[in-house]
This record gives sequence, C-alpha cells and structure tokens, in this order.
Amino acid sequence: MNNFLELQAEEEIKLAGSRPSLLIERWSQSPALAKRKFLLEAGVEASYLLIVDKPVEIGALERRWLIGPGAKVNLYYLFLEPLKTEIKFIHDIGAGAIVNSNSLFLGDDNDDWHIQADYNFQDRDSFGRVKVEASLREQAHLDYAADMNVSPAAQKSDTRVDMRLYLEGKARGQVIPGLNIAANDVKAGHSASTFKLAPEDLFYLQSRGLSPADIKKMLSLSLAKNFIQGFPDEVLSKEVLDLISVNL
Amino acid sequence: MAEDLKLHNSLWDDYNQADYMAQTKSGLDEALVRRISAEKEEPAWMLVKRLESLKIFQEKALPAWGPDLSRLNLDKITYYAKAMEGQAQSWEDVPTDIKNTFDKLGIPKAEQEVLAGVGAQYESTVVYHNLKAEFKRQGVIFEDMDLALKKHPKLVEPYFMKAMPNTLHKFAALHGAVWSGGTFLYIPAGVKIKEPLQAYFRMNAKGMGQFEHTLIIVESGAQAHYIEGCSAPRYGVDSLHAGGVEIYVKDGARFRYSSVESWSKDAYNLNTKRAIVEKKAHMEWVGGNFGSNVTMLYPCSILVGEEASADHLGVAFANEGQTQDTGAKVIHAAKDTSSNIVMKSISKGGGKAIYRGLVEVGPQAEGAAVSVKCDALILDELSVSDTIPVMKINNPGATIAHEASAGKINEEDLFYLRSRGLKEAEAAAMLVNGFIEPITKELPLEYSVEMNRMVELEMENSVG
Amino acid sequence: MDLLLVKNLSVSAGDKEILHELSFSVALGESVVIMGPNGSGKSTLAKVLMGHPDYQITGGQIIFRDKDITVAKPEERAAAGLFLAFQEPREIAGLELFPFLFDSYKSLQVARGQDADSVFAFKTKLDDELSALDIKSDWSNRHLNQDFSGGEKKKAELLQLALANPVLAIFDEIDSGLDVDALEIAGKAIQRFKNSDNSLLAVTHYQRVLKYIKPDRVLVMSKGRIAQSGGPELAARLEKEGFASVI
Repeated sequence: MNNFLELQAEEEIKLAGSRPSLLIERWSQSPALAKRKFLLEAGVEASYLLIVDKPVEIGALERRWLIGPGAKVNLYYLFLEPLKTEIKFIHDIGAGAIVNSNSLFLGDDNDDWHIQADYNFQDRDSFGRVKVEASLREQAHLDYAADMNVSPAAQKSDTRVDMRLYLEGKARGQVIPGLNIAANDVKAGHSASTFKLAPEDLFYLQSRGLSPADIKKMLSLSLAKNFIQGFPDEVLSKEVLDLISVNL
Repeated sequence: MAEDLKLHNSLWDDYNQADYMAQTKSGLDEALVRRISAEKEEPAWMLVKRLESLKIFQEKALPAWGPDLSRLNLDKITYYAKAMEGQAQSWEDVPTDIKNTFDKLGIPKAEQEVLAGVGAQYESTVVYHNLKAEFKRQGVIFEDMDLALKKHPKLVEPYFMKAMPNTLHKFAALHGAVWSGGTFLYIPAGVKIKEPLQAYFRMNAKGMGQFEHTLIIVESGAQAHYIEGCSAPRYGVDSLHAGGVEIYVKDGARFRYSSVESWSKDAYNLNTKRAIVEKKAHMEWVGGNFGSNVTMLYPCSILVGEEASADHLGVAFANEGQTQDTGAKVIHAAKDTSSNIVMKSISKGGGKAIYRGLVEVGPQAEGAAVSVKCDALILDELSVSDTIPVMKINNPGATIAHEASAGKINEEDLFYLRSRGLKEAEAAAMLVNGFIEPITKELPLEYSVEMNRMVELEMENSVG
Repeated sequence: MDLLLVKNLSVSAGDKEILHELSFSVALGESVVIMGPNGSGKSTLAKVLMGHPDYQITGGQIIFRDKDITVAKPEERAAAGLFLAFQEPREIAGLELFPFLFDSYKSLQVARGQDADSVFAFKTKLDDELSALDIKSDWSNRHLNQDFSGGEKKKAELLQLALANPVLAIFDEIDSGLDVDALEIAGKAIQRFKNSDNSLLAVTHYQRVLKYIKPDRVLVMSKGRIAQSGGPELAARLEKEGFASVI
C-alpha cells in the first residue's frame, strides 16, 4: 500500500497529495482516541479502517470527515466489542466527492451500540454509498440512525443507505435510515431490512451436507467478505477476515 | 333537538377581533370545560374525563420534534358560544375563489353547500333514508358523536379514548377536554356493509368542526368502509384542528378508513388517528392530505391479536408554504402479524413533505412481516422531502423490508408525453397522478377522480 | 414544397458538440431514411427535431411547414404535425393507456383548432387501430408501456402514430428489438400511414425495415455530419459494402 498509517494519538489529520492513503485504527493495538477529525484536500484518495476489538472506557466516540471536492474516501467501521457511549460519525462531503462507507457489527452477550451517522452532501455531483450490516445474537442490541442530508446545492448527487440486520435469540435492533433531501435533481434512496435464510434454502444447504452450525458460519463469513470488499490492502483484508471468523 | 353548542376557537397572532366576540372568555379553563359538558348534558364520567384531560393539557409541553408549532398561540385561545340557528351563512357569503374551486372540482351544488357550512341536512335525501332503514334492520348505529353519547352510553364508555388516551400528547389532551361532535359508527357482529359510508350522510353535517371525535367499533367478522373528508378546501373551519379517530377492529373483522382532506392555508391539522386490531382482523388506512399550513398526521395501527394485519396507503402534497408531516405507525404486538405501508409524497414551490414512520416489532411478535415503501417526488429546487423511518425490531424472527426513494420528475418521461401533444403542465400532472396511482386506485371512483383533480389544481397552483 | 428544412444545424450536449452544421430537407410526400454507424448522431437528430431537453442548439435552424420551430416546445411541434416514435418508449407507471391516449388525442385536436371528439367517437377510432395492429382490446387497461415486451412497445408507438396522424413521422430505429413477425406488423402499419400528403423520416441502423419503407432518398451520417446522400441504390450499396465504403 502507498501511505500506510497506524493512527496513534493525532486528533486532527490532514491528507493531501496524489498518492492514496490507508489509515488504520485498531484499538487492541493502539490507544483508543475519543475524537478525531480528518481533512481531505481536493482530489485526495484515502481508505480508513476502524476496528473496535477491545472494550474501552471512553467518554464519547466521534469521527469527523471533511471531504474536499473530488476527493474519494472508503470507510470501514468494524465493531466487535461494545461501547457504552454515544458514537457519532459526521461526514461533510464536497462537490464531486465520493464516499463509500461499510459498517459491520458482530454482537453477542449484552453487546450494545448507539450510533448516529450523518452524511452531509453539500455540493453538486457528490456520490455516497453507505452499507450497514449487523449480526446480533443472544441479547445484543444496535441502535443506528443514518442521516443522508442533501442540501439545496447538492444537485445531481447520488446517495444510498442500505441497512441489513440479522437477529437471533433475544437480540434487538433499532434502525433509522433517514433521508433529508432539499435538492430535487438527485438520486436518493435507502433500504432497511432484516434477513434470514428461508427454510427451503436451509434445507437445500443441509441436503448438500452442511450442518446448521456450518451454515451459520458460512453466512457470517459472507457478511464479513461483503464488509471488507474493495479494501486496498490484501494482507490486511485477510487479517480482518480472520479476526471476524474468530469472533463468530 | 337540543340547542347545539358551537365552540369557536380563534388563534390570535397579531390582530384583534374584538368586534365579533360576544360572550367571550379568554383561555381554556375548568369553568369553560364544565360549561361545555353541562350544555351538552353529558354523563358524569365524561365530565371527569374532560377535566382530567384539561389538567394533562396544561401540564404537557408541545412536542419537541416535528414542524414548527410556535406560531400556535395556545394561551390566547378564545371561546365563545353561539346558538346553531344564528350562525347560518348564506351561499352568497362564500368567497368567489372557494366557489370557483368547487366548480373546478365538479362538486355537485348540494355537496358544495354542505362543505361551505351552509348546507341543508341530508335527511331529506332518498339515499340517506334508505340507508337509515337498512341500518335499523341490521343494528348498525351511525350517529353524531354527541347524540351517541346520550343514546348509547354503555357502548361508548368502554371504548372512549382508550385507543387514543389523553396522555398520548398535548393535542390528545386538548381534544379530551374540548371535543365536540364527530361520528359514532357501530357495526354489529357479522354485518358486512358493501357501500362506503360517507361522513356527510350523518345528521347535522355542518362542515367539520375542530375537535371532532370519531369512534368506530367493528364487531367480530363485520366489514365496512368509512370515508371522511372531501378534497375541497374547508371553508369556515378554524385554524386549529385537533380531532381524534379511534377504531376498534375485532376478531376477523375488516375495516377501511379513507380520508381525503384539503385544508385552508392557515390551518394547523393535528389529528390523532388510532386503530386497535385483534385476532385475524384487518385494518386499512387510505389517505390523501393536501393544503393546510401544517399537517401532522400519523395514523397508528396496534396489532394486538394473532395474525392481525394493517395496510397504510397515503399521499401527501405539500405546496408553497405548507408542511405535510405525515406517516404511519404500526405496532406489532402478537404473533404472525403483518403490515404494509405505501406512502407517496410530493413537494412543490418550497413545500416540505416529511414522512415520519414507526414500525415497532415487539418481542412477542414472532413471525412479523413488514413492508414499507415510501417515495418522494420533489418537483423543483425550492422544495424539500424528508424520510425518517424508525424501525424497532425486538424479535429476531421478523421479516422487515423498507425501501424509500426521492427525486424529481423524469425528464425523459416528460418529453415523451409532451411529444404526444400534452402541454408541460398537463404532462407533469399526469406523471404525478401516475406516481400516486397505487393509492388512488383504492378509493371509490368519485374520490379518486377528485384526488386526481386536486393534484392537477395543485400543479397549476390555483387552489383557493 | 419543403415540409422540413434543416439549415446548418449544430447541436451540443453539455460541452460536447454532437451535430455539426447539418443541412437537409424533406419534401411533402417523401420517405427519407437516415443511416449510419453507432455514434454518428442519427438518433440525436431525431430527438432534436422533436425538441428533446437534453440537447442545446448552438447554431442553425429547423423550419417545419414554413415556421421556424428551432426553439418550439415538444407539444407545439406535436400540434404542428410532427411525431417521433421513440427507440426506447418510456414506461410510465400508474398511467393507464386509455385515458392517456384520449387526452393526447384531444390535446392535439384542440391545438389544431378542430372540435374535440367525444370519448365514444374516439373509442371507435381506437378499436379500428387496435385491430389493424393486431392488439387485443383489453390493452387499454394496462399502464403505459409497463411490462410490455419490445414488440408491444413498438406497437404502442405505432398506435399513437395512427391516432396523432402527423404530417411528418420520425422513426427512431423502429426495427430494433423486433422479430420477423413483429417487424411485418410494424412495416405494414407504416405503409398504411404513408400517403402522398405526409412524409416520413426513418433513422435506422439495419436494412430490414427498408423492405416496408421505400425510400426516395437515403442520407448517411457519420460523426455528426451528413457524409453522403443518394437514392435508394445507396442503401443497397451500404448493404453490400458496409459504411466504410461510403463515409
């Protein structure tokens, strides 16, 4: 990878230059910081991976992105451990900028998350694809509000939020895929759904020799592959997949 | 007939209407509520309920979310009493632009008079007489709410403001304190009424009042369709409308409540509509909301019985200066319940169309199936559309599918229609009517035609 | 008499110029076919003649029946006697066919200063056209082009052509997506339409439709210009030798 950065204690990070950057924040390996702000200059390309794989006592969690015109950012948020605090993700998106955001939550026991994610499309021709997927078991709980805010100047923007929940046991979820659209020449859509394997599908797979446990693992792995899709570093992608498998 | 009491609310902002305020009393207080109940000769329990509601109203705050209601100056509500007879206006007094709108919509003269609040009662029509005879035979009760309270107190009391408790929100409490008039509809077990029952059939239909209470009880296996409202601007209706609709759909019963409403530009339409749906019963809400200054309307279905189901179909059109904050609420509280929500909103000329939805699947709602589809058409650069769907899923076996989209009229579609000779405005109206067709096709023909015409008028921006 | 006169027409879409100083004419009673490879701008020409909003006219004029229609609205062009059969007819959800056909029929009559037909007179005319096109009469209940096969969509276009009764009918690749049988129905419909008092301008990529349209003239476009023009023999030559031989 070109610019590989293991984030430490920097609260404000400015990205410039023509080479794409890869930023990693992994709480089991580096200090968990409450607030961080990222400024992407015009035309910059960056990928960011946040792995919450260690329970941490922290007041609040906030990640703020200021994405300049024509910049492109791929965001990966992976939650394996709960956080008692409110989690906020704010993205201010400039003209012609591209934001792809994937979030994955794997919850069991009493894992609990409360997220507010704002995607503010402020200018023309911007593009956003937000995917949120969660596999929640036992008594896990996810509260996720994603707001796509398209301002009047953001004509010709193209935005989508898609949320999928897989629930088991006594797990619960609250999702609010919001759309606040003030420009009319736009494409804006969202979906939220629960998914589970149909009984016929289950039977089909079992008839091919897979046990229910195998099937469950297979599904979770496909969730994981979906999540890390497009990640620019192969080695790290594999690490993430392994990390997820261990947590299943 | 007992002398009726008409409560008149004025919401004061910057001007004083001292000259026609005879017998005025500022503010809403206990004395006034007692007077209302006394003049209506209500049973004691109703007065108790009114006073309890008043207390809640005084203590509760305005909702912290939603459109701006700050211009509603509740402290300066003034009431005055007037006898019914003294109030009759004549057709000549109705403003020309309202009359023009009625004509454009092709509304028959007799109906226009009713809408304008000057109408004769429908008692004299043959249709009404025949219906009355049939109802008597079947045991159907279709009555003014005030009258029903007096004639059938044992039917009313167990249900009154149970689906819509006065603790729900400030306007439910206000409603509980000052409600007046409305419809009572009781369908006995097994009775299936094919023709839609229309609000203006009932006696004393003098145009809709502000705090009407509609109570509908559909017993086991019964079936009916009730239509309230009409798509013509309501003349003579005051600025705040805090009505209430409660519907009880019992085992295996089916009920549809349709309402196509258009309000004058200064109206605050803050109605509460709730249905409780029991085992294997089915509830349908079909609605169209046009006009008003602010409308906040979220029909709610509470699915308490196994295999209960609800459909919510709605259209909201927000034109210049209007806020349509509408949506649907469905609470799944039993096994194998299902719901289907289809909402279409249109905003134009700076109007704001907001969909606010709540789908709540309780832990006991095993096998719940929910489908939500909301689409928004934003006709120009000035207008806004918000979709705020809240999905609370507390049962893992639920199947939820929610899909929403927002955008403008497709330019290619517009060009195609225009190339066939249709003028731009006509073509645009045709596309908008096509957009809402899944809802209009569920209404009886006269209403769907009226709704389509309302759309055409809104598109031309010439509604009175 | 020149029914349509296109003079030095230049057309752009955003920054890109697609048609460059195009000039040609169509006389009353003529059948003109425009051919050319993909990207030659022939479909754009068809759309621009009808007033498509995506294109900007940067130079030149379009004169139809002695009136300058360069900036006229699509509905005005329809009223004047132009009709464009779309290559991809629009699927419009929720729009029932019968009311739409009746409304557009009436609009054209009114715009042309004629008395509007009653719905009964219209229905009779519609039924005649439906049977001529071998369309089942329950079609009118369907929604405009929704779930129509390619062939059905083209038939719907031809139905509207018959009802609109234009003086100049423009066909944008009428034969694309049609099998042999459907093409025959379309071809016969075009033949039924064509007479000495009207004209047709057919944009086509393939030769198949020429079995039914006997062109008086053939224009070949390339890169936004007219590269060659000739009589029907030009079409035959293209068939044998391909576009490269001509451009």
